[in-house]
Amino acid sequence: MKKKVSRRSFVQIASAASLGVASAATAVSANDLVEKKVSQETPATTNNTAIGDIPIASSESNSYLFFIEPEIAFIEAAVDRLIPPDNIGPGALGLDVAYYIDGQLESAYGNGERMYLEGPFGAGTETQGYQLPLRPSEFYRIAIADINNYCSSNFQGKSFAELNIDTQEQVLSGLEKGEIFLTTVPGEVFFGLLLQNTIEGYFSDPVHGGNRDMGSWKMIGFPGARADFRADVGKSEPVIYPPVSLAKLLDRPIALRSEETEK
Amino acid sequence: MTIKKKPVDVVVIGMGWTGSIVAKELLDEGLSVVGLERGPSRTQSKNFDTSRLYDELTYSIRDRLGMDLSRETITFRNQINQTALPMRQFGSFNPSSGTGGSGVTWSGHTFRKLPTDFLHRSHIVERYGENFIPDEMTIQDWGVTYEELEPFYDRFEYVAGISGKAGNLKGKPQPGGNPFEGARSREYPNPPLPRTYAGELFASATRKLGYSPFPVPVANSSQTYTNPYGVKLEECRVCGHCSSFGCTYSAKGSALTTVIPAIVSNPNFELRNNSYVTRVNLDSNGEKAVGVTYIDAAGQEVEQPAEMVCLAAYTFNNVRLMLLSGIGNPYDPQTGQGVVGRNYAYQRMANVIGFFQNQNFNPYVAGGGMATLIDDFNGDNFDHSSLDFIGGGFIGSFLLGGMPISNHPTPPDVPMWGSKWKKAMVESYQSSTTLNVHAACQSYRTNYLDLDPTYKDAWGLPLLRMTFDYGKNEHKMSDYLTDRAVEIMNEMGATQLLELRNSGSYDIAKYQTTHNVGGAIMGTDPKTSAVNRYLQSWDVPNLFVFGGSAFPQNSGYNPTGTIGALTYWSVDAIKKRYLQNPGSLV
Repeated sequence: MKKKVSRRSFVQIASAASLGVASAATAVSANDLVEKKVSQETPATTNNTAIGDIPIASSESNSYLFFIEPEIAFIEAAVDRLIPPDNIGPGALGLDVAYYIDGQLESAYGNGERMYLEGPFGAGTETQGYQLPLRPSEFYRIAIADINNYCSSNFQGKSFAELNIDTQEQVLSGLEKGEIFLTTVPGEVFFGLLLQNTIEGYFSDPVHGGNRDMGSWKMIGFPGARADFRADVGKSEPVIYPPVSLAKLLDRPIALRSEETEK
Repeated sequence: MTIKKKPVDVVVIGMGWTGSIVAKELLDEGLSVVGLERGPSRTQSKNFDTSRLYDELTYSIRDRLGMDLSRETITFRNQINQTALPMRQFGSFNPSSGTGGSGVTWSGHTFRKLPTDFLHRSHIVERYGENFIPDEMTIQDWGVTYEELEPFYDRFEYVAGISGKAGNLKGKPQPGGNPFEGARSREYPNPPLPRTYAGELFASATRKLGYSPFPVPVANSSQTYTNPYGVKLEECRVCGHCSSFGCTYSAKGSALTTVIPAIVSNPNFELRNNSYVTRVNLDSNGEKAVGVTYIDAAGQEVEQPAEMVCLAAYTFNNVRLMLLSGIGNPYDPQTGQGVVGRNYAYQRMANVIGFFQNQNFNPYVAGGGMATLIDDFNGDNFDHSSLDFIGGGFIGSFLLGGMPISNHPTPPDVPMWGSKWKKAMVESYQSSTTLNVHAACQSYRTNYLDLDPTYKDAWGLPLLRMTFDYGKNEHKMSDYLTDRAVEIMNEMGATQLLELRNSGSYDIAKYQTTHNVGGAIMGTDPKTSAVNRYLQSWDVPNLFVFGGSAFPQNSGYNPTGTIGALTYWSVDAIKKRYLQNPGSLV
């Protein structure tokens, strides 16, 4: 028999969900539609005139919900190395991919929703797939600390973000090839996750917080949420339409989260 | 406290393609039917049940419509001497849950098997001799012939609104269709979808090489169409969002678009979503099913008595529920005795990506249904006597849509990240295209399904354990076919190739296809099959088991067309014979 859901756990779920919504609004603030609607301030009425000003809630990292320093410096440097800006097109950092990953890790995906996470945990073979007991958010937190420790031990006390670009690329390459051994977690497994999430944030619809202004779609010619190509089947010349984001279809000011739990 | 429901005539477990067809056909006989679906409710009126359309991350990458693995998964190992570990996230395959099942998220390719596929073992013995079949291979005949199934293939194709071109009408070859197919009684209900540019190049190249290209038969409706149940499909808009998605336009034939609308308002039918069946209940002799037990959405145990039980879940759950309920003898790979779990099989997949100069394929001008293929190397359409393998598959130009998270190929020797990657990726996005090699998987003594000794689902029941690897036969066959695909791609004019051969042991983390079959196989001998030729349990005659679980091995085709045909074949026998005289049909 399944355990009954208590009121307390429901309240916890509700507050996690509202956090998710807040992160979405922050992450897509670049979107024209969102900016326009968010900026419509409610005028003060005579009944609630402000009595003064006290500090508002803030932190050192107002743009991030999950990452804290020095994780922020790591993720910004890492995604910029994985997909750098150049004359071909925008880089991952410029397309808000660090914010995208931050939002994902704070959401149900980051918390391992829909993953089977029961033990016992065994190393397994290559062909048995992911077997770590870590949710994506836990994995990032531990792996980034591990990588910064590795960098500190090998590069005169510097963190990953403090290394020059060539050395950062060497570290990422060493992780990718399984040549760098981290204290806690397998570096090549983390590298695979980081690269996958970076590509997701680079190419997914801007409603998820990355791909700012559909920059990657404009670069490759992907049309986004266009729905009828019947007239174009069989053409050998380029079929290019300006891309469209899902945000354009939604008649509300905040983006949808990617991982709303389906009940 | 177990809640006991009022008895009904029929309880159907699973509301995908097979469950909804069984429900519809038995409701038409005047029976009362309860459908139990483990997943959530999904609806399709004009659109699929969401306003969030065309979102690759949500549907294709995160598998929003997929089964919830946190509650229920399978465990996996390649070999008997290894410890199976849970599939913790989707990889190789991604079955869906919810009303309509995996039939909502499929790509829609709807094939008939070759006449010789159904006589698999006896045909090979006859043509090549007994010694051509390796000892460890446990392939067998189906117990039903193509000719017997033909009217039921036809029935499924007309219900699902399949678009295609016949290659053989009553024995008469038809230009433009598949010359190797078995005889059909009539044309497809809808004409084929138009050909993509990549498909044109593929068609000219394969014709030049002496092969016979034809359009894939597919459930994307090429025109507005009303099926025999009176349900209307719209014309496919070629939007490129088929696999892993529900259809925005009600243009992809699925259980949700073609069958369920015809049963939901029937007063004799009740659909209960979020109902997780834990066992089929038997009488004290274990010879008759008396109903099923399930856990409802609120976590309460419910008993649903019924005169007849239809297992119509995905392959895995059909087999698992038989094992959990003690129906039929579990298969033992050491002795080769027992039948439930025996002959699990899959699909051997490979791809060849071609990179071209000065070509534009516009990969988003496509959809699951747009493909051109050849059948010259499928089944026994080519002489195997000088080859050291059995079986084959089709080779085709399939454009599943240009969604960029999963579709951004780069040539070999290009790094996977950095500026060099980006340059190559941007150059290749429009100017590369893929050929799929979609081939058979024979069955083996050591490929099977049983209950895992360690891992449990969210309700404390053992997970299903898969022990599976490809045989040498599958690798040799796939390499032979992939070599042909390479020749075709070169003929099409590619200047660079990336060959994704899937050599080595089967890898559950790498997406291949959701074509898991076998484990509750059909046949004519209760010692080597779990259900008879009418999909009726040998041990519990008022239990029928529908779906890919009935395949004794897998041939080179997508399974759903045959799953649909077998369902109508079985239901026909139930309607004409079983209901008058419940008991064994053989």
